[in-house]
Amino acid sequence: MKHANEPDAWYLPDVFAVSREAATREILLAASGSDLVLPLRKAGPNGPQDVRFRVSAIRTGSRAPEHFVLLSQGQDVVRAPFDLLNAELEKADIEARRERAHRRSLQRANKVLNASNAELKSFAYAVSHDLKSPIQTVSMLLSEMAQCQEGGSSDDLADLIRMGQETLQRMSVLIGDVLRYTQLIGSDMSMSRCDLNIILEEVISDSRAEIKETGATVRHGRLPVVFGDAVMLRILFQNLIGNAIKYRHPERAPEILVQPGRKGAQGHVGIEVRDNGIGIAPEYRDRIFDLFSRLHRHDEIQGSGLGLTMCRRIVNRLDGEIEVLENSSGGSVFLVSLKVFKDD
Amino acid sequence: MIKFEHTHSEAIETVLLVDDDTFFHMACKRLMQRSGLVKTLICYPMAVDALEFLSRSDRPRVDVIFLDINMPKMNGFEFLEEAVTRFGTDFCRKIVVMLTSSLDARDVARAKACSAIDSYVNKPLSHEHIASIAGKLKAGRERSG
Repeated sequence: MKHANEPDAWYLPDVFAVSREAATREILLAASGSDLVLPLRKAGPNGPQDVRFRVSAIRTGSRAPEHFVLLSQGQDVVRAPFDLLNAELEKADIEARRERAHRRSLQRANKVLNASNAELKSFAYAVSHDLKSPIQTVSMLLSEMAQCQEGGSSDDLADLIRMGQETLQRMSVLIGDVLRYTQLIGSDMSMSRCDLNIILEEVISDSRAEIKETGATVRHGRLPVVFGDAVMLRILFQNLIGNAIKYRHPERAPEILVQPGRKGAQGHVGIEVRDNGIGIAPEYRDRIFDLFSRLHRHDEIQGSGLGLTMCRRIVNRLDGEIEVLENSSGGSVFLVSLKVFKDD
Repeated sequence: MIKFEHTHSEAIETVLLVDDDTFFHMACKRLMQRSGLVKTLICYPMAVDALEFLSRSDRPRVDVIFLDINMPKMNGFEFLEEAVTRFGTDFCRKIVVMLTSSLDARDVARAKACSAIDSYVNKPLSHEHIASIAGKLKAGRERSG
């Protein structure tokens, strides 16, 4: 920064008849309107004299000026101070932009953090609620057992013990699922080329005990190669195939077909998992992905209500989507859209 | 429908229990039987079935509903909203909501909007809870008659 009493001090800030701050403000104001005329004090042999010149702000699309140009002709004397001021303004402008961008990214990060905090809070609430529920039942069953000891039948006691054990078993399943779910939230992903044909074969092989036991058939068409995380994709299809078997129709053996489905957004492929199970009534379809959302009682079909929440979580992390489709022939169809793998 | 014997004179005539945990039903049944404070207990594990029961013209009068909130398909609030819409506010004398844990923020707002609810009790259900409701019903009867 030049100082006022140095020989070439006519540059800045003395070149302006108005204060330097005012000059800066004036030039910046040009951003919002037409050209402006600014009084300038020219350092000549006869002392300073007023020079009027015209500047204009250059904008490309955005509202903030990117550059200032001197429009006045034949004003060489102000060219140098103007250029210097312009450079300073540009520098300030770049910094302001950087600052704004930084603030925006902070705001974005903050929003993500707030959302994830809110999600964790509601998760903690739901977990504590769903864990407390079996505890309360066991607590009542234990009171009844104590009463039985004071003079009840041994049949009653055996019944109460069985109910207590089953309730604790349900709690154990829930804790296991909660653990898996939380591991999923925090785990790192390694995105790579994933052949869904191979992943599905692995899932089918892992589920063979269940498949044999229920007489299920699991077939798949020629599936695409996607860009994803192999471990996550395996958990995803394990859950979807597992659900198709679990929610089977009481009168028919499960038939599950995994095949290419409706394409989603640009660069995505659709894969559908189709079963002939009990299906999901349309009015419940929007809530099945919610945390701990269940459509069946524990004494009907066991489960924590976390499976599909986990699926949605995985698909979201893989930048895809999951939905349940209308299926006129009964059973459920889940459509997953995943990022297609591109060789380059 | 379970009819209990050896009940007190001030026992509640009919209790409707709506909770998806059937083991909880068993425990409640034993508790109410021992208390002598309930004459008839009707249990439904699904809210839709309880609604169907309430819609029957030949059903007995229901004095108290013990209602769970978190249930599959139709939750406790949805049940109450639907019941009030269909049967008005007098379909039952006392509605007691059973809480597993404190209500979360969304539920608090919903509970406030639901004027049909008379009181809340924390699970597990105890003899004292039943005695307190029976006492309130008796006081109500004495005042009105």
